[in-house]
Order: sequence, then C-alpha cells, then structure tokens
Amino acid sequence: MSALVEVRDLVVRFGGKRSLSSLVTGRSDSITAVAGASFAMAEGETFALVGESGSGKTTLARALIGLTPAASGSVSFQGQSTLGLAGAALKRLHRDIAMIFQDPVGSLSPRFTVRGLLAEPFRIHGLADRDLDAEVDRLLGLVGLPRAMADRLPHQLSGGQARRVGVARAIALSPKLVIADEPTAGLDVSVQGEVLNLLNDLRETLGLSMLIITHNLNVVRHVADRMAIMYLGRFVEVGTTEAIFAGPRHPYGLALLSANPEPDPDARPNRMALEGEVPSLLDRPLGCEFHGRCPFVRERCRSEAPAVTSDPDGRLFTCHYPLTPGVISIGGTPHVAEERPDLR
Amino acid sequence: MAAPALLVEHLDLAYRTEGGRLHALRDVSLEVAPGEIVGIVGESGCGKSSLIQAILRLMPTNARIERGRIALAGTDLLQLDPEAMRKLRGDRISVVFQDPMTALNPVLSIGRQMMDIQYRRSGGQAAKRARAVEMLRRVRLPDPERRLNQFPHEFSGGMRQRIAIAMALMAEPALLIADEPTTALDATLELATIELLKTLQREIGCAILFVSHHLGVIAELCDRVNVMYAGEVVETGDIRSVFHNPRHPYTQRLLACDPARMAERSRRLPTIPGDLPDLVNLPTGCVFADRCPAVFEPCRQAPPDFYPLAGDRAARCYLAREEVAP
Repeated sequence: MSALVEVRDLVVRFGGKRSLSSLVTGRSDSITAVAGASFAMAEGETFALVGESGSGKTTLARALIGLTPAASGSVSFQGQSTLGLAGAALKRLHRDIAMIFQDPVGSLSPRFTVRGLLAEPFRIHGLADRDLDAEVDRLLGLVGLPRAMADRLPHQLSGGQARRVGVARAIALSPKLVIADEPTAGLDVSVQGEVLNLLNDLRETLGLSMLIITHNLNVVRHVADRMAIMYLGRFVEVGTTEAIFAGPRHPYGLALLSANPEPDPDARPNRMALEGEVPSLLDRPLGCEFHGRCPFVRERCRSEAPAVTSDPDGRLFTCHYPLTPGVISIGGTPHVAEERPDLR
Repeated sequence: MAAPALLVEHLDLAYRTEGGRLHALRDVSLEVAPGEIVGIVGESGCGKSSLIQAILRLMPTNARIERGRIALAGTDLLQLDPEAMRKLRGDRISVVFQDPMTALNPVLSIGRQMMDIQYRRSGGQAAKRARAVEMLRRVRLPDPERRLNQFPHEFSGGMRQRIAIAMALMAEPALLIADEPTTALDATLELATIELLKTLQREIGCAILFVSHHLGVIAELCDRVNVMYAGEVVETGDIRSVFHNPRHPYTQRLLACDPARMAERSRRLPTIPGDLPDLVNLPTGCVFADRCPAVFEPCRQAPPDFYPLAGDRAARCYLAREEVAP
C-alpha cells in the first residue's frame, strides 16, 4: 500500500539573516528547528510525535501543511509533492489536511459564534452555496455537541466543548489527514478521555489518518499505532508504539518513558534521571547531540554523530550503543546498553 | 504541638455574578502541618484557584468569603489588615505559578528581579546578589553568576520554572503554594522539578500546598491529598490510602480515568459522563449525585457531611457515613 504522507530529510530553519553579530562572531544566527526528519504514514494510521517542548514537533507539523517553509527535504501527500505550494494549490491541500491547534479556546476567534466558526471553512473554500445550517448541524452531531451550542461564543464554552468545536472545524471539509497538536493539553483527565474517544470514533467512521503531537505519553500508548521520539529537531527513535513502550532502544526514549509520573504512590520505579540541560539549538553539541545528558555516554559519542540504524523489525534509532531490552531494569522495563558488560 | 502551617476551616466563598451568587467554595477545610507536602487535586472548575486566591487574599473584587477561617502558622489571615497581609506575602507564604514565563518580568534580568524581591532584607547590593547566586545554585542552575545578567527569554522552560522556585523560596517561607508548577513542562523536566521541590522542602523545612490536576505528579510528591469537586473537598487522606482505596465515588472515577493506570492498551478511554453542577443554583442533594454510579435515595435529599473514616481520612459521601455509624 502506498503511503499517505511521506516526509524525507525535512529541514526547517528559522532566522539566519546576516546580522552584525553573525558577521563578527562568524556564527550563524539561524536555528535548525527540524534537522532532517523522515517518516511515512499509511492511510488510516495514527502516528504520534513525542518530545520535549522545543524539540520541533509543532514546526514539523506546520511545515507538513505549508504553514512554515521548509529549507530542504521533501514532503509528499498522496504521491504529490507539497513543499512550496502556494495560493490555490495550498488552499486545496488544506481541504485534505486539517489541523487542530494547541490552545482549544485561543484557536477560536472570540467574536464568532460556534455557527460562524463551523461555517467558516466552507466560506474560505468557496463552498458557501451549500446549506451551511445543515452542515453546522451535521458537524455538531458528529462531535457530540447539542444544536443549541451553535449560538454560543467561544468564551461561553468549557475547555472540552471548545476542543470539540476545534475538532468539528478540522473535519468540516472531510479531510484525509488530521493533525492534532496537543489535543488534550489543558484538559482534565475525564474530558481528555472524551476527546480522544471522539477522535478515535471519527478516525474509524470517516476513515481519517491522524498525526498526533503530544508530550503526554499515556495518551500515545493508548491511541497511536506508531510513534517518533524527537530530540533537538531530530528523530532519535521511530517504531510501533507497542515495541517502543516494551523497550526503547535510544537512551533518550528510555529516559522519557521512565520519567512518566505514575499515579501510584507505591510505584517507585527505577528511574533514569537525566543530567544537564537541554542544549540550545544555536549551539548544537558535536557528535551525538544527546551525549551531554546520556548516562551511557562513551568516547565515540562525543565526536561522531550516530547514523540512523534499523533493527530487524523496522525500528529506526540514532545511537551508537543502542539499548537491548531485557537485561537491566529501569522504569519497570529491563534494559541494557549493548557492549556494556559492566551493566550486565 | 506547633500550629499547622496552614489551617482552613469551613470556608465558604461566593462570587457575585450577573446570574446570581455563585458558590465557588463550600465548607472547605484542610490542614497542612509544618514540613508537610499536601496535594489538592481536582478538575477545572473545582475551586482550586479560588482557594489559593482566598488563602493569599488576592481575590477578585466580586468574591466574598462568607464563612470560615484561614490561619497561617496560627495567625488568622482573615483578620489581618491589607498592609499586614502584604508583609506576609512573599515572606511567610509564597507561590510558584503555572507559567514561569508570565511570572517573570521579561524586561528585567533575572538578577535584577531576584535582588528586587529582597527589598525587605537589610544588607547591601553585593550581599543580595550573593544570595541570589546561592539560591540559583540550590535550584541547580548551571553557572549562576553569569546567568544572573540574562533575561527570562534566554532560559529554557524548565530553567525558568526553577528560577521561579528559587525566587519563591528566597525568604524561606513557612508555606509554599505551588499552583500547577509542572503543567507546562515535559515528562523528564516535570520529574526533575518534583525531585527538586522535594529536596528544597527538606532543606528549608517549609510546608508545601501542591495544586495539580495531574494525578501522577500528586502521587509522586505528596504526603496527603485533598480531592476537590465542584467547590467542595470530597475526600481527604494520606496519599496511599486515597490512591489505593478511594472512598468517594468521584475519586474512584477520577482515578479510573487516568490512562496511566490502565494496564492494557485500549483505544477507548474511560470518562465521567455528565457535567459539573450549576454553582449558582446548587442541587438540593450531593453535588456529584447526577454523575455518581452509586447514587441512592439520601443523595438527592440533602448534601452529605464530611464523614470521618478510619486512619485520619474523611469523605463527603453517604456511603462513608453508613460505614462509620452502622
């Protein structure tokens, strides 16, 4: 089956105008927010991007739909290249790829009623000749909001309701792919479940594919088929959610999974604490960019950047000394770094 | 016995709104012993923020405390005049807010800000600067002397939150209120921040009131927990008993909703059907009755009291009463 989305070596840079300071210091002012990301999504798949704030998740998604220009690399959607699209072609793309933005209330115009917000996609795409009231009713029904909600303004909605309106806007034009940026951030656990269940129902009934951006690992475990872990704009590990949760191969993946706070006061898992700070994108470390925080760091990591490696079941990771699941126990999941006899 | 660091007794707080009086807090009682870390967990609209604002006496103008008592280490805060209350804030009681970027002034260096807030202290600029450096070192900010001259935007989110913590603890307060301090952080930083709070709390010996809707963080950090729903504390107890054996149906549902507690991977996540009650026109019975799976006759007639349970626990539920007085 052909991929719905294929991203190859995508690079996104910000800044980099020649400023006086860059001429004097000889240092570039540009930051590389996404530094060569590659992945593919099959139709109907839910793919999750995971990583700390500033790791490039949102930038990658924005580049995917043409909201942020890419510096190099390629993105194709249904076999068509989408980078550099503008005007009518870009608008056409936005019918097929829709985005649910981070802040549920902030992403809705405060002066529009819910009816206006839900009719807007049709107006923008020149489909205002449809029966908009009927479309609004249909969308409200799909996301499980009562019809009376149509006359409310965003500030009159709860976080969960506003999120549903955001979802309704995203699915208005029957897209093939929905990008959900932190769909549950700021929502309570009980409402979080409702929103995720809704997204999952829509995925099934409308045959959507979904790209979910989140730092909530508990969400990823339950909803995503595959996931990518980002660090400083690069993918350090890509694979099926089940395989990565069963045993990450990159030390950062392990740190991330073991740091997930457990709602059980007696769970005191053997955590892997990270030393040091997240490096600045303006001053990327040499060698493996994780080496300054990696507890398994060795000499080679400081000088030589690791290449992307694939294991037999198709998992990709970027580490000289990948972990082998099953030998020492950290975070409840046993692991060991290969070639580390001292840890066995 | 020393007076508790914080004691809230039978607090009622209402807001004047266009639609009528909104009863945001009803009969809220809680206690934080000196050196203890106590959690408040609850979802949006449960009254967490109203409670914090009431403790700090930084309430919106339409809010009124209608009943109850708030005491900080024996001092009745509701009796203090505004000037005395102002002296207390930032000195005996301080706060770390959710968003470290908006809590710091973007146009002043963090050194400037950290020296400014020491205005109560005697001593020269050099001494205040040294104290700022010392606090930054305690929150493990690398290279603190140099970084003192930098501005908030030059720090990462995790560092900014640690700077905010350093500032809050600078006067070694008796009580630190932490209002969702890790919500804006990612898992690894969240954990590091919790560990840091624990360490500092031991060193300084302050009590912490930790407010969060993140059950994992509460379980990780707190000694005791208060669960709030729709303006009431519905359950209180030590962290282990509440998480392992929740007695109020709301606590049970809330814990069941957390996807982190589900052993099996499932596309369908549990929820709590229904909505929060209207706090202007309160239901005659229990506020959770409409969403409660265990609802029975008495729940509809009058609101339940806060019934004490064995092991210094309590729950606002008729089922708990049945158990205590057979």
